[in-house]
Amino acid sequence: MTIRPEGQFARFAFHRKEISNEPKARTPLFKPSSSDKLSVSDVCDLDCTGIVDEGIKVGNRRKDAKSLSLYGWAEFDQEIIRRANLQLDYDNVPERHANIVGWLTDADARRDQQITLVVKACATKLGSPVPIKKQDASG
Amino acid sequence: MTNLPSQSMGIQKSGVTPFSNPFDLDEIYLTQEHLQIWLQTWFRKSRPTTNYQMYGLVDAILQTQIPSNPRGETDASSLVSHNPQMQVRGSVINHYVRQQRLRREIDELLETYGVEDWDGEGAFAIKPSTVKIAKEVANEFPDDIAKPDVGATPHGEIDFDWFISEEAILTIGVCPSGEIAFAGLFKTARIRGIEPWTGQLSRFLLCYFEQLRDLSNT
Repeated sequence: MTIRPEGQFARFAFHRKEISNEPKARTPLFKPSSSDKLSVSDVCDLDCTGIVDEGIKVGNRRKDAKSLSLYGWAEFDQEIIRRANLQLDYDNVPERHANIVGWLTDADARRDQQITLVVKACATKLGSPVPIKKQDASG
Repeated sequence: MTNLPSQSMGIQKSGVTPFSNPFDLDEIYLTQEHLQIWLQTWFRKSRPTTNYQMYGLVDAILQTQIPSNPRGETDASSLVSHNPQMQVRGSVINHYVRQQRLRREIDELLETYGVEDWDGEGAFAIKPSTVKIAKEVANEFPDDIAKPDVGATPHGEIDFDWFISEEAILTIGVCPSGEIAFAGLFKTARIRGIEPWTGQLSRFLLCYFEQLRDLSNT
């Protein structure tokens, strides 16, 4: 998939505490995995319904999918990723999916990168959490 | 019943919120020994008292006739009802309940995140030693700072996160190595660092808590 400079990305929140009621993204939303990857999706040309569908697809790929709900998401553009000294790595599994990579090794530096994303991200919280169910993954 | 001395013992009314009861105090029981240890810790941290004064206050509180259950434990609501110093007990219980809840949340992390690969992406398990240090760290948080969000990271760390506003963010992580990693944003100032855990918060972190408190009030 071509990386577009105007790309808009979403990080999906599968835990209640990751997005506040205001809504604002919280730092836990941007914790990278142990292999230093942060799963995001390109949602540039999607409306809210499309973004929720995308979130369900991403949730369905998780080991704990059956117990998860989608609470919302945080959107940000490529400029913010660059400003945090991070990069995008598309894997397109599922389609539109990418990982944010380039996390610094030191725990404090990694937290600093998280804060950059938190401050600039625009959060959406769903009125009612959407349960992630395996059978919904077809889309 | 012993009457507690007040101003002469360093108890200050300013900044002490009279106690209201928004908590489920009935859930919380203290053995006399735990109460003593906890009161001493609380006074040491939050009151400008000498050790002599502090022990005097602790003894005075312990000597009040507080009912206990058959196991010899005192429930927190009884402490509220029977302690003569409303100002003291309000702050004491407020702080105690908050600390108990924080400690409980930290303990519960082990149940969910105490196994390898808890996120299906190779996450490291939270270690009991990390939980132990996290509880020590949490015990040192200033009384007048908002309760943080507590969570585990895939790197095996326990995080304490404060998000006051877009201009006041502090995140502190207890690493499996026993180090404390932190990063924060205070208006335009960015801070970060790693330090070994020595049993108390460094003056840098205490200073950041002050900034967090100041920005919470603006």
